[in-house]
Amino acid sequence: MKFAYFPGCSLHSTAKEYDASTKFVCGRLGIELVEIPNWVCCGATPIHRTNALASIALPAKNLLWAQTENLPVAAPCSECFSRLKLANLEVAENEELKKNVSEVLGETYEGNVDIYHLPQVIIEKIGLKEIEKKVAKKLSGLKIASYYGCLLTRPPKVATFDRIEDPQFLDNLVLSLGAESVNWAYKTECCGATFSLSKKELVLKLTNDILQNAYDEKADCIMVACPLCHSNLDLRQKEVEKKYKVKYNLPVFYFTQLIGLSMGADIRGLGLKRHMVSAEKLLSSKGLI
Amino acid sequence: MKWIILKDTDKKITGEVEKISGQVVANCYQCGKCTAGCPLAYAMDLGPTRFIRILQLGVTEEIKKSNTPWFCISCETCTTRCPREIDIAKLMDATRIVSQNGEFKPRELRIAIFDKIFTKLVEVFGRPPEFLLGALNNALTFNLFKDVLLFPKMFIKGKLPISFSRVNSKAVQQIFEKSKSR
Repeated sequence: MKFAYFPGCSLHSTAKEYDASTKFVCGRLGIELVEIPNWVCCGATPIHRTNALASIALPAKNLLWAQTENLPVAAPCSECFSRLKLANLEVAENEELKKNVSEVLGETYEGNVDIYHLPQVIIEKIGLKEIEKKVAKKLSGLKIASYYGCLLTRPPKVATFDRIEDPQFLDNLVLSLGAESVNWAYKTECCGATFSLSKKELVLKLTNDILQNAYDEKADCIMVACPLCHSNLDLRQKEVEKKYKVKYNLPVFYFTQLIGLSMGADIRGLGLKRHMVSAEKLLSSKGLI
Repeated sequence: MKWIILKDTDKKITGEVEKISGQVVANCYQCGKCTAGCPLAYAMDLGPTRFIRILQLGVTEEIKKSNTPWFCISCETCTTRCPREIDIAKLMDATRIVSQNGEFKPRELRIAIFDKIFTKLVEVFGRPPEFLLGALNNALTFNLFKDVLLFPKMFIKGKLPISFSRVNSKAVQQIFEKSKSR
């Protein structure tokens, strides 16, 4: 199975471990990822707040290559995925927008590229049964809170996975890896993503609420599928603990790292040493490393 | 309870917001579901429901001084749940765009400055270098020491590469230049 891969900016900087573990897991599952040549930023939130046309044209610029090569696109970041897919949908629905976007790009973008979020590629296209076959070491005894965040499940016309308000696909993956899935209330709450640099106090509050709930529900760790969720929950966790005078010490994993771990990859190769909240103590206490 | 005096109403901003977003604010019947689910409602002066009400009425002064559109984080909860299928997050985006087009001053300067820096970096580099984004944001918001304790740690962990390569910047500049004139 071949996909045009759109890693997005974070996977080349703050989330290199997500990139590395993605490539490892996809390699094992027979998914071929071809990185889109010279891809540019999807525009993320700041562009759709400031320039409506550019917010569609930037993702479309990246999709032009996939259109020519006739390949579906796989994006590991929720923000990139959402912007790419939304651009595709809006161009497909709106003739005038298609005309404007094509004029800005200097090439015609048709709006007919299939775009998938990475969990969708792995869980829906490959399937949990195939993953279970590749599990060499079950993650027994690990209690995982699956965190979906905002753009992995919303808005429904873009994120067409299972249930909007109480999604299950990551929880099902957790069970396939032999771990325990934590039932918690904050799985689709927003971490504050884009305000991390501009309005930090809001992010710390939202992140604290999420960490608190996972902690109260006795999770050992949190599993995410977005580099922005990871950066708020992991990078800012110490700051949250200091501000709210609490102690969570909850490691945050990318879902690809946990699949990789169950397939027997070593923790350095999966980039587990790059996290701010160390996962080693937890993993060795469960006999997983 | 807060009272709004209905004089000097003007639908100019509302009209522009509707045009940019493609939404019709009159469709809202004020059920309050958006505010109930909004993770930032606690920090907003009006919250989405009341903000849409002042858009409907065209209370220009209230629209200009509300922090509600600025605190919208685009998590899409309101848009997902709205029984009238209004894309509320898009209304908030459109309000900020109207402000940015010079109609009124941004109520939350720091958020507006961050958005500007991010946009400029995408325009120049194709992919915004995180290191520059953090540094410029600190400098331009007079908050030089914000997160400085995090930077060395991020650097050691390889999470903050200091590189300034440009990717496809000509094509990106063309996108920004051409889309500005519309």
